[in-house]
Amino acid sequence: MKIHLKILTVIVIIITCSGVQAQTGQELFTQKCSACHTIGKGKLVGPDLSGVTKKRSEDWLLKFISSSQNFVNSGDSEAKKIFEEFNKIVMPDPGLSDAEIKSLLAFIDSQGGSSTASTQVTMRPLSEATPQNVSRGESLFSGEVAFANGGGACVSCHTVPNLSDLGGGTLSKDLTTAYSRLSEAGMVNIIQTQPFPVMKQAFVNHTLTGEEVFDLAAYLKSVDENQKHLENSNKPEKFIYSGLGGLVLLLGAFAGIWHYRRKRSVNHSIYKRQEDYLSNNIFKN
Amino acid sequence: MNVRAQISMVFHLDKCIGCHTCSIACKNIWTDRKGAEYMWWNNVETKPGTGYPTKWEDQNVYNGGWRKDGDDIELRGAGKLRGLVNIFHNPHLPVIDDYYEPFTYKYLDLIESPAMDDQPTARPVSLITGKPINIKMGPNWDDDLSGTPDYARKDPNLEVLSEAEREAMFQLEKLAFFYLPRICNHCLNPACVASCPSGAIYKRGEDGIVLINQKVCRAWRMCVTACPYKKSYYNWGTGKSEKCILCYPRLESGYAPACMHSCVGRIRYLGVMLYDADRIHDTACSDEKDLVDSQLDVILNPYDEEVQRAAAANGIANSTLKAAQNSPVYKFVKEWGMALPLHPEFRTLPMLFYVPPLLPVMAKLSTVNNDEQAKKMDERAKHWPDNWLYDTSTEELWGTIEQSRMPLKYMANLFSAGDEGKIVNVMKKLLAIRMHRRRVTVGDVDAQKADIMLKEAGLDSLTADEIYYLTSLAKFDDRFVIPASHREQAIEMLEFTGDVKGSTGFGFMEKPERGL
Repeated sequence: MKIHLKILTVIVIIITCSGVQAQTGQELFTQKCSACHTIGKGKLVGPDLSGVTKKRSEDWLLKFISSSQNFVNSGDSEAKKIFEEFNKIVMPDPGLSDAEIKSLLAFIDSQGGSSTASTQVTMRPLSEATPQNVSRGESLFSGEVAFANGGGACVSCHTVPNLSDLGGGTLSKDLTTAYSRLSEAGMVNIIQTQPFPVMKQAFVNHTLTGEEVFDLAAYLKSVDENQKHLENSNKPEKFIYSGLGGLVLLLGAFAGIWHYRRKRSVNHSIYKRQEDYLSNNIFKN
Repeated sequence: MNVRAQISMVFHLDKCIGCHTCSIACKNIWTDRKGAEYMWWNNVETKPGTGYPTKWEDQNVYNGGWRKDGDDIELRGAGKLRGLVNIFHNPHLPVIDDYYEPFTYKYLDLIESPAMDDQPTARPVSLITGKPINIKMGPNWDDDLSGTPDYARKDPNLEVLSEAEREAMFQLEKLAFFYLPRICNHCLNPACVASCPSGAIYKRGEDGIVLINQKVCRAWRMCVTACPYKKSYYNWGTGKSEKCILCYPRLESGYAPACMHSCVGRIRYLGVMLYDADRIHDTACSDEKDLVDSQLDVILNPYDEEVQRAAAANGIANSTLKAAQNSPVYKFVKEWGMALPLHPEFRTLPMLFYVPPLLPVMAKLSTVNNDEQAKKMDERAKHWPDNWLYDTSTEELWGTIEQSRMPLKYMANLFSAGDEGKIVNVMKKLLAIRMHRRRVTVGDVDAQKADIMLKEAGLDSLTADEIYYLTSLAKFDDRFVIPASHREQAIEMLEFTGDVKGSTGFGFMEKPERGL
């Protein structure tokens, strides 16, 4: 057992070391931030970061970037305001050290007004999408058609209304209103670059093709436009209540079918009468 | 004609005194083992009463026996499909409380008790859990308790009687009961055999004894459900089902079964009868009113030459044929028509027949004026102002059959599937024989009247004397005519006896298991 633990420790160290590489601020920005943020090119999913280093103190930025949710929950009013302003979309923790964040901030600072550092995907606008795109997107989302490079179907973790009787996954965000929440560019960006840690891990060796991204985005857009008003079929309460209802029905059916089945010994009534008689007459006093 | 031999029995209920000696003899030999404590292969019930297990006759509770299904019959609670559906949970199985929780007493407490002010007592302990229990029920808990609300009035046979008839039956002055000893009926159409999913139960070809092969039994317990007489029991110690084996090891050695051998009232008769196996199915499918007659039709006349030829062709030994001709059972059942099967409506064609008890009214209540009598009494004596007399000085020595203490309808429900005429026929015979013998031995009965009665019953004085002899004077060999089992022939089918010449005995030898 001890040997196993030692081997495990060594493996963990090797993996961590290989992951830690000196990265420049620009690389980090492109990798971690640019899916949702721009420098000087306007809001995307999150705010435009130009001049942010001047607007906020370094301490504030460090706290926000290292774990935005903890910071918001700690009661900082400014952080809360930003969180609410941007549709309460959680900024995922980038998993960076303080030094890395500082180099990132230095990069943003150095870019001044605007930057070209970006992973912006250049793609046809979704308004060009045809119904074929939408239906292909649906097939990809539900996993009926596999992604060209493999990778799990969206339905494993996400859901949208009217997907199937059981609904989609509940591990991650409901994507019904993704289009209006994230805006077209943000949504496409997220699908393409998967900035969220779990999602990134899931698609690390299975990059989506441009056409797949377009189809999925077209599908999600149509979902947003057509089905926003529908109640999501994947509410857990509904599942539990239908289960309870089914149980009651089933037990009721059993009770009906086997109503006349013998439930106790034939002697039960005899014992009962005798015991009642004794307790009422003999043992009473 | 497919002639086979069946060892069958007659129990003469007029003679049963309810002493339970048969039950004890059986218990001591066969069921005094772990897991078998609650079993009584032989038990004696008081009728009216609930019996053992409680209400065993009520097939709405236990779903035993056969049910007529169009021109065919089907098992009520078991069978192929129903058995398969219920194979892991058989809902009609009797539970231990339907029988009773077997118990013993801590006798050692009596012996090892230190000197005390009070007598030591032996507390009852359960034979299942080993813990002290309050005894609530036993195998004959309703013994002699006619009229009680818990037992007698819950007799399933009373359901056919009206409320008024029941009340009349249980009036204190009219209260009566009789005993019904029961063992496995070794039926011609056994429901237990038909129900067994493992094929462990079989009816022996040579003598019709129904047995459970303990090596094949897989404890599905379908036989326990299927037997309408509840005479198949599950042994929780061995995990196998067991039933009465008609003491076949004794029979094969020429001895009567233990219950019959020990019977104090000598009520039991055992003998071989020949029957036509080809007609069993049709008989079991016949209408309820024809059931008894067609069952008796299946039994063949051993003096008929055609039957004898068919028997010989089927390999029935001459000794068996001879035993069938001397069989007291054949006489009671077929020749004299005095014995009837118990609950023929279960359609298993039971081969244990009962001579129903006569239970005649021997006295009546009459109104009298007791004043004269009261004057003779000492003035200090207690004076009873009653004006009735329990009058035994009837003109008729015995009342008429219709006046019997047990309603004919009740008897018919037990022994003839509701046909009172059959009960009346038997009762007439019983009464006529008593009259006839009273004329012979006491002489206070009008000879002409006795003759008329015999004639009405379809008997002559010679037959009446014969019946009287077998009823009252019969010796061991008259009551039990056991055919030789010819084990040597059975063994010759399997091996050459010359090979084992010099060895001891015949039969299938199994080495005893030693140690743990």
